[in-house]
Amino acid sequence: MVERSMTEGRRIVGAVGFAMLIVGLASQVATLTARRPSWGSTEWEVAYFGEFSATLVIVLMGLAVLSALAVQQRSRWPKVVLAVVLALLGSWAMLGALVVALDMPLVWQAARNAGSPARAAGLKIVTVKAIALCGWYALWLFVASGFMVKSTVTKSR
Amino acid sequence: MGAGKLIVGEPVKAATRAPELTGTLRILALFAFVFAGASLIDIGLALVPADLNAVDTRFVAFASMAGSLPLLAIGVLGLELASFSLSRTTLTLSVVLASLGALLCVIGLAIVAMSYGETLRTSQGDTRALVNMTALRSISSFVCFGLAFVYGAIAGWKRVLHRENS
Repeated sequence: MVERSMTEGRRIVGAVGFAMLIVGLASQVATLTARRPSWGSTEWEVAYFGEFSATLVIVLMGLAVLSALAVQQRSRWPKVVLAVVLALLGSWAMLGALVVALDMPLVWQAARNAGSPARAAGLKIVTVKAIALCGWYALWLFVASGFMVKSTVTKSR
Repeated sequence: MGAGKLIVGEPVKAATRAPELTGTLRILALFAFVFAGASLIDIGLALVPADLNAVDTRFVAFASMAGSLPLLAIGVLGLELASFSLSRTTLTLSVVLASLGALLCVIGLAIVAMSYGETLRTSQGDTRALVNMTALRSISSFVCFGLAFVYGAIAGWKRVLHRENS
């Protein structure tokens, strides 16, 4: 009876995790395709990675739930797939942090000519927040990916 | 054996030693820590650069802090849950974050409540409606999440002391 309830519970939790992941990924795709990606344009890069870092949390909640379920169920392939997804997402976040960091001098210059102090502060905050959040997520996504790889290897021994 | 016994009784001690359960809790704790850190970055960047001498800027900065509280609460909740079978560090971290959350809620509530009247007086037209809505939303968030953080912090500190004594 308890085992059956646990299985039902796992199914519900898995469905919620999947829903979060799908909604989060749809939001990310919408963010990326809302404007034609133009690498090299500071305005697009800061706006895109700012939005990416602000909306990534739903994807991460879905991945957290699915990763926890994969570890708990001792199944090998979901863990491998999740490790790859986490590493890819971490790499994208790391790329975002680097790209926005390289854009910083231009943003600071634009902030000096922004007209009002509030607008200048807003530009700076968006940039720093994008770098900080992308860097933070990248670091821990790599750690989580490593954890999934480690749990896969430990299990297969 | 009832489900309640499985949660609070002796069997859970045996269950927590299972490597897959420890792994599950570890990954949950890791993500909970990530969420808590992201919310603190969000709160820090909303408060640090703002001109806190001006009443309206202070009101907006502290009211926007309320938007990051759900993420911090999810982080604290994840760490508190994971701390039931992980190391003492996880428990301490969850308690520290819950205490910090409670402190932020108290400060945020006090500042938003104090600057609300002045901000409303200096605003006109549609901005007044926006100020009212922001105040209502942020004050309700501070009160609800503040109570949750206070409860979490008290319960966590009790568990820390209990672990030290035993």
